[in-house]
Amino acid sequence: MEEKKDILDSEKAQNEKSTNWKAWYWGLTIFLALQIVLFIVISNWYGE
Amino acid sequence: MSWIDWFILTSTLLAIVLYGTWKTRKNKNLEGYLKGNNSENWMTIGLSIMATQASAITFLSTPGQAYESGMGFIQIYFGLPLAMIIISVFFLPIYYKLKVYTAYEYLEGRFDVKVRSLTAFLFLMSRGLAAGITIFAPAIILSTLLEWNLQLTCLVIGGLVIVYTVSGGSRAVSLTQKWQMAVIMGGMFVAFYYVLDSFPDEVGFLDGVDIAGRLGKMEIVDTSVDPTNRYTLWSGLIGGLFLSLSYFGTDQSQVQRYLGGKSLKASRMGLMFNGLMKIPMQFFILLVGVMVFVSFQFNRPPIIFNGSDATIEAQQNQQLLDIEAEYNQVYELKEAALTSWNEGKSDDFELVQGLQKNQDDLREEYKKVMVELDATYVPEDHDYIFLTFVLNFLPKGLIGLLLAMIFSAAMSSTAGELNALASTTTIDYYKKFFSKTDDEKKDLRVSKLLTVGWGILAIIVALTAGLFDNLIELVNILGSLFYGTILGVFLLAFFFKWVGAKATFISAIIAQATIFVIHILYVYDFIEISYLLYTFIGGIMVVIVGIILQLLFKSTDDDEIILDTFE
Repeated sequence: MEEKKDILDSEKAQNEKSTNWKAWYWGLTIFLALQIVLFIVISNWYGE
Repeated sequence: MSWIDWFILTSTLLAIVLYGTWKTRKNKNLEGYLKGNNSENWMTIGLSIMATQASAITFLSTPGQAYESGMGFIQIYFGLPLAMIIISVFFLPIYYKLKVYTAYEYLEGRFDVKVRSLTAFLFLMSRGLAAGITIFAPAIILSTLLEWNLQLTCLVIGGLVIVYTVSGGSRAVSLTQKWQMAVIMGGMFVAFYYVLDSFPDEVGFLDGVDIAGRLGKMEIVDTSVDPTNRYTLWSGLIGGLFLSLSYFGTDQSQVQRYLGGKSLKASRMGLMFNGLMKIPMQFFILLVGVMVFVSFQFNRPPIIFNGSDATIEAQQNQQLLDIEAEYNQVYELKEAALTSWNEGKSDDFELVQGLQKNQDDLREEYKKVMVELDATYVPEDHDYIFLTFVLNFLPKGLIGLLLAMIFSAAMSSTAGELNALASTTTIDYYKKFFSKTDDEKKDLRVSKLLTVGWGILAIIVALTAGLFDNLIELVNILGSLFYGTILGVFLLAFFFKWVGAKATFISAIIAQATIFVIHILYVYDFIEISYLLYTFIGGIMVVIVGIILQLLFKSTDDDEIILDTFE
């Protein structure tokens, strides 16, 4: 039972390491920036 | 409402409640009840986070906000994705490492029991009242427009939530929220389709966007640095960041959602999901409101959207009848001018803009006279706009679906709140100060009783909310009064490791007192300030005063000397 838990924990840790979180954070930031740029373009389009 | 609407409404709500209760019937221990045995995947967490934040008023009020003021409200969410990143990097790993049940539990290890209890108390104060308003706000709108009994509506919403939250705890809340989000988004897409369907044949979606843009509804971003403008790019990025950090990082109703994840990765992915989806979702809801505005360019809107029985007598006043007649006349002229422009027969859009302004002014004048004639009339009617459209333009059956959507939204956020209130009371007070033994069954019973207790309190607040004129605003202000202090304590905990408990406790008390003073000065017209700034001021103040005090105390050893209220 204990052994099984250790295997699961190690799988979890491995899984955690295999995710490139930096890429996620940069992706999310770039996505936010793109949305803001798009909104500014729309605002200027009708603001003029 | 037809029988088919009633059928769809009741069957949707009962199915969700029964599903949540049945799926979680085997909960036997406190960890399962409060954290769902850490079994949720990232999708459930992400949807649950979004469902907790989006209350019924979000779906009723946001389209109305866009109808009145355009898409600018979206800016308040600009800081949210950044907050998701900060929470994911700094907050989440610590919560996971310490295996906490509540966010405030961590503060005892980092500072001491006094800081933990103070912060938990501030949370219970603000969220306890807010839970009642989450029920009351949609109930008042539904009862006004559908002539339902207000008390009964509050009791039904509160009662249904209590059933599955008490029975299944955190897991029931997360599982039902997943389906509630499906109903909510399904309802919004259906509504969007019918808004476009209500346009004349020759007006398409892009024409609608063009008309809305020319009438000033598509000015989404305001890059000015004018502090009197509530929604700007900068207030959205900075104010929105602080607001989101405090709400998602330190409010137990949100923290509990992602602490139930089956792994750190699942919780992080849930937060990323929220960061990615929130702005597009709010953009869509606002767009629905803007399209309702366009629809009412071709379908005559009522002059006010919240004319209830109580105001009917006032509405027979000759002055009001004259204003309404003029309003209808202006509408006819505008509709003719807009149709002619749209068909290419005229290129004079300024005429349409002028008539729209005229129509808006007449609406304001009408409301002013209404207030003079009927002191109970509340002139802010934008919360009623979307539902008015639904009741007039959606076919039988789908009205029931849209009402199920509003109920689902009210229930999902109330459930999250009750669950968090019960967890905080159980873990931060009952288990800490009263339960001396580790009797799992007894702790679980107490936790369930506390959920019932908070549920009953929320219903009582909802039932008495009508006695106060501006309770909704009052509760928003109450939340802002406490959020800053709570956030400041967590910022010191995470980013200023050398600041100790004594400095933090005193700085939190000073910041809280200062926010109260600022608010009193505002109430008595000594200063002009938006309550949205309270979170920012409170948070920054706790950090700065805490650092100064720590430098004065020099050593954290002094911590043991101060007030031993709780030991």
